[in-house]
Amino acid sequence: MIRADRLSFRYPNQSIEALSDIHFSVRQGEILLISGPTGCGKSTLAMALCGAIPHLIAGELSGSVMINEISSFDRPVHETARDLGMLLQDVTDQAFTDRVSDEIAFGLENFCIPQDQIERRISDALELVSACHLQLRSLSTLSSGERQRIMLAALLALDQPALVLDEPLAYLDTHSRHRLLDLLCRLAKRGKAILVFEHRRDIVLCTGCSELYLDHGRPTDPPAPRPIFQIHPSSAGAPRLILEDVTFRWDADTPPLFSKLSLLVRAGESTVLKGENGSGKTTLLLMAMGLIRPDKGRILTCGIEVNPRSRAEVLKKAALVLQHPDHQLFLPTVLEEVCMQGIGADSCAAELENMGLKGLQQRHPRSLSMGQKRRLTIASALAKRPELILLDEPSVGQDDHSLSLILKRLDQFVQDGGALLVTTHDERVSRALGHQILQLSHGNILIERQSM
Amino acid sequence: MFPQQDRRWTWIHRLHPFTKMAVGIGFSFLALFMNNPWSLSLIQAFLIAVGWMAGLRISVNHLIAASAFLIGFILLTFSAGSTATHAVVYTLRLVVLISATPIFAQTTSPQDLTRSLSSLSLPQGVLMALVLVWRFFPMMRKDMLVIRQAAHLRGIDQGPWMQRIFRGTLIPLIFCAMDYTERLSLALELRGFSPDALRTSRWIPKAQWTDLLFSLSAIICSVVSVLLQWRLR
Repeated sequence: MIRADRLSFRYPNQSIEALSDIHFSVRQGEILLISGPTGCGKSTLAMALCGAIPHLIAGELSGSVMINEISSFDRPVHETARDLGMLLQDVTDQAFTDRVSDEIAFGLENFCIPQDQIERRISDALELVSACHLQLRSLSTLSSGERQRIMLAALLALDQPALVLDEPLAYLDTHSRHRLLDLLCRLAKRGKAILVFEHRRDIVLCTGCSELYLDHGRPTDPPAPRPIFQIHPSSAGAPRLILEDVTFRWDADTPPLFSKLSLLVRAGESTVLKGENGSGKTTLLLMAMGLIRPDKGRILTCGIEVNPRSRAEVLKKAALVLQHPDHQLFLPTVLEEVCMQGIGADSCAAELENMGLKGLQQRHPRSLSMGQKRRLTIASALAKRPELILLDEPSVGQDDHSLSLILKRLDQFVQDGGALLVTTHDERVSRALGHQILQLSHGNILIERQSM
Repeated sequence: MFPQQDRRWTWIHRLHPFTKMAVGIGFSFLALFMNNPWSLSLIQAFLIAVGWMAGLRISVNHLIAASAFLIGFILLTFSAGSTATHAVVYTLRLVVLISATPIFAQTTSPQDLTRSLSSLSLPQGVLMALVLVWRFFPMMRKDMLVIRQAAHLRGIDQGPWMQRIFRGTLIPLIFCAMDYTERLSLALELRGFSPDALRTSRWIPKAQWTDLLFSLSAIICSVVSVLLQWRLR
């Protein structure tokens, strides 16, 4: 169904091939995992499979890609899409409508599916991804994980024989992840050929699929699994973040997101906040920085009561790294991004080295890979020398090595008396970081683990 | 028949897009020709009532800002040599002109508008361009809010205003717009869209009795406004 034969690709003005001599095939009913460290060529391969290379992206291309026995290089992308459905990595900008059901209908309308079949296909697709309850929602009100499920439903509604999913687990909570993997197995049994690009190999390999491991654009043997860096226990100190009886709802028509929620994060302590998609993890972080005001309750960040007047003071003592790094990079070089926090050049270089960004100081931040950008935003936050760091999904796009670098530096931060609050769906992060693991559920916090 | 929709959708949302377009354009034209403050106030009151029924609300901060702008506009017009009545008329006309389209745009989804337009056999490429432009500005507005939050968190908004605007908002926004355009054009093809190909429609909006009711109300409002204008001249 999907076959790549001696596929090589080089971007214009680059001396090194992004893909080199790739060869694989996926038959109906098979799942193939394509894994590898960040920057190994996974996204480039995905672009070649769907025909974006060579139709939309120029470069030096050789070899062939056959989808359903037709070369994807010889027909336009929208025609290849009839045989191959692809879920892109970043789901935030893939929507063309503002309503969930319309978004799923969009592809069906493009495929000229008769009107009387469209509603049934929408319901079936939503049921497959367990998102029937989202059918009437506006897309703008969905969390990243919910949006990912809807985009997957939009893909499944089209019923193409081959599916390519680029980092489909990135924003999913544990339950949604298990549901997705289970769904992929069921789809494979129904005869679909499925290709999954994912660097978290252990999770996908549980499905019993085969694997192609890429490194520097070449197929190689996968490395032996390395343990992720484990943060050291330290003694908890003074409170750095206190939430007392916080109540919040987005608008009067919706149920409260938080209801009398309380939370305590201390110096020298790392806290992991988990929760299902849409449970309000990101909102809680924005509240702690004073960017969203609660309806009721009190928030103290680094000893300062958070209100519009104290926001500047809070910013001096605390740092928040948002989910999407593209919105947080402002300066022309990587070095300047870190140095703007006012620490010396040596300290900046050390921060970059800690995050595996040595040698990239003079690069434009926008030219980095998504994983590198994310590490840069974390390095910039650490360079502020804050008392409290809030991280929103820091592990998205990070392979085991890159994640270990982040965890090692965060461990140092906590050992030096810093307080850390991380929201994540990634078990690797919660296992490694969680002195305290909290679960945000139905507007309140449940303690899952406390190791003090 | 409309498919099942968000419970926050009101009957104003369910009106045929052409009905709303016709009323919006009609009121804008009327406002251009009227110079009686009562006539213009009546049209504006109709628009406010429509917005209210559609569940559109304006925050206190925005209300204060809008009031300050309008008072400033009245004073400016008055100081330019107009009479007080003229200053009020110009301001009311401006209010009608700038509120008619947004009220109807806020209650019409781009998808519904393009489905209506597709019944006129317009080319799919043109309709898709309309959808993308319609979606582009809200997307950019959302991105701008996140960028401003991020700039605030990074302390970029603490420096001189040039730095705040260029480094803190404009440059990241341009990059985001470029990325967005690239990703969107790829996603469009991956979802099987081709400007030359035929498409089906999930449903085509059809005029219902509420459209008749709404149009009649708008016509009555227009006639009363015209009468007020003529009789009070």
